[in-house]
Amino acid sequence: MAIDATNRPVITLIDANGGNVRLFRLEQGALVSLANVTTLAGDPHVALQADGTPLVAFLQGFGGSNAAAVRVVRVVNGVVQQLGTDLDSVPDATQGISHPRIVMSGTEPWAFWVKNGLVRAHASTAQLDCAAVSGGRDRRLRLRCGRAGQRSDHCRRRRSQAQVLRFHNGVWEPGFDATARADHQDAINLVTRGTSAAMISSSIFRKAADVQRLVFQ
Amino acid sequence: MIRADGSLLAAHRPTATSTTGILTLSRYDATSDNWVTVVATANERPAHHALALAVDAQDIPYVAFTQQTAADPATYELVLKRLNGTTVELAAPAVTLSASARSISAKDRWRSMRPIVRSSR
Repeated sequence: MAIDATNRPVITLIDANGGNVRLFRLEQGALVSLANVTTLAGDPHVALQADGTPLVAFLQGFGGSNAAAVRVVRVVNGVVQQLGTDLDSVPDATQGISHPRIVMSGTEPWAFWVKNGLVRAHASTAQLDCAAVSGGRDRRLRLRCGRAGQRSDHCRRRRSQAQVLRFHNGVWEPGFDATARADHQDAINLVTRGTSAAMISSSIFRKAADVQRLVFQ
Repeated sequence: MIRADGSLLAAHRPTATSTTGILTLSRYDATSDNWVTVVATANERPAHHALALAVDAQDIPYVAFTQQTAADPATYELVLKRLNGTTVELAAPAVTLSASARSISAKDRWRSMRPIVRSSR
């Protein structure tokens, strides 16, 4: 849920009957449908442009397979426009992709998601304390993941990576984003305020919660 | 979620069952270092998988969730409420969704169990 400049909440959710992404806005005391985006989708999150235009990040599934893609759409007057190409995808169940999130930094959308490139046996529940401060050139967001607490067991944990891209000049920019990572995360939530964002993540065992502070520059 | 005065407000589901779960709003009391219940039950009927929380520019928190409809436990409705003091009130009439609608911003049930803490915009 996001709230626009005129204090109207905008809500996205999945209507599981077909996996449609639904988008509603509170308008004069009623929840008005803005869009019924797609099918076989999941985990939608919404951010708003400065003019209130909703951007929705979600997982797009594909019939007959376990493939999935991270996709962002913009909804303008009920018309759904995909923003750039798919950001990332996995071909089947041997890999995982989850938690698409989107935030705005000025006029630029930033997309976050988690991808499990390698799935390994894992038994450790050691907490990974990620204490990261980001900063980069050209308004780029950088992540550093350092251990402030117990040593984590990299070898026995699922290697999940937080992925980050920004939409700039009409495309999702690759580059540092593909290597920026916070290992071992399979759940993220993002909050933003001004030029800062906090990424709250959970370990694969969902017992550890880590907070990273991200700074848009 | 961070209120205008800097206090934290969280929406969460204190129970682990998906069919009887209640939605609770809690405030973090820094003095006692405890989470204090503000609204024990925000929903009228069993809620579905998740909820979302946000605060507007006037520091009014909104909570959105899906719950069973009164007419049919297999059908869900989208509910948007706002916090007024220590009670929640409907911000709009609920919207009925398709049967077994999954809820807001969450794919799996466990994800809905984690607290959602959101800052103001």
